[in-house]
Amino acid sequence: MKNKIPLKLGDFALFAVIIALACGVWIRLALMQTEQTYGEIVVDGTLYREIKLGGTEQETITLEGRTGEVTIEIDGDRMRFVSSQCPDHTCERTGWISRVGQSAVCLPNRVMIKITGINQDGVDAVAQ
Amino acid sequence: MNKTKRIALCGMLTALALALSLAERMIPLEWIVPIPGVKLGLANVVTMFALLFLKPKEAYAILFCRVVLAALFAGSVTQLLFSLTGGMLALTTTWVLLHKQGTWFSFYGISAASAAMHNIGQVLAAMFVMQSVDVIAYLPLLLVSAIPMGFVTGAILDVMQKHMRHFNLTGHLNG
Repeated sequence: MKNKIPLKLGDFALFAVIIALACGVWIRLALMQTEQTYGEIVVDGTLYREIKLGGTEQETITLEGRTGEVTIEIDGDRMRFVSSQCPDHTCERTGWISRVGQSAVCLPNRVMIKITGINQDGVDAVAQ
Repeated sequence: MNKTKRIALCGMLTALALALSLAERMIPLEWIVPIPGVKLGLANVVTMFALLFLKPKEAYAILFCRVVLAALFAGSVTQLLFSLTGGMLALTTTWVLLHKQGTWFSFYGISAASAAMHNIGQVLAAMFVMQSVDVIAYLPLLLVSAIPMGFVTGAILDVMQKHMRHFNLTGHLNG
């Protein structure tokens, strides 16, 4: 008994609630997946640029954030932070994102890239 | 225990919590879980300890001082907002759950719930700061990581409170 972790019944209930909540949010986000995806670059809370993803487009975008230069790469249906002049470089380690709801954030630079299913212009994907 | 001793103890706990929260920044946890704001939550051990051995009011005061000082030393206003919302939510959860500690919950479960609430608070604050709901995509992974992190802090607290009871610090405080 001495080396055993003294878990109580309520602990398992707490773990279950946490996992259920995680699954709930995850499933909700997965359901939002649509066919046409758009990559958004948001700087300081406002939309900087929106790119239609899914083609064979290759592009590298460089912009100026709060603490320095940020480089974002677009490759077909996915995008990522290539480099960022910030202290933590967490955004770079997030890697490629491609599914709706996924995002990568550079908090010090206030730059966020995210994948959405709806484009902000209001133009339907079919009409484009 | 008289008032001066209490204040001195609160100050020492604040210093300890501050040191822990600064030290844990050196642990590159973001290499394992690539999410901004992921951390062990070692400072939460101190907050929970304060709840156990001192008054809730004092635990809140220690938390507030720690978060503000940590932001002053090595953070930003954004970080302060994240830690404050997360910390307050976590502390309130801990306070409620501690009432049933030993009967319904162990320190492990309480720590995990506390870590999860901290993450929820952080994400809520991030949604507010970034003016976007998309940050919520981080929540599932953060919540799942709350369980192992809760085990780490819970184990520390479990061992520590046993030894501290041995020292009869509580006897002085509550008696």
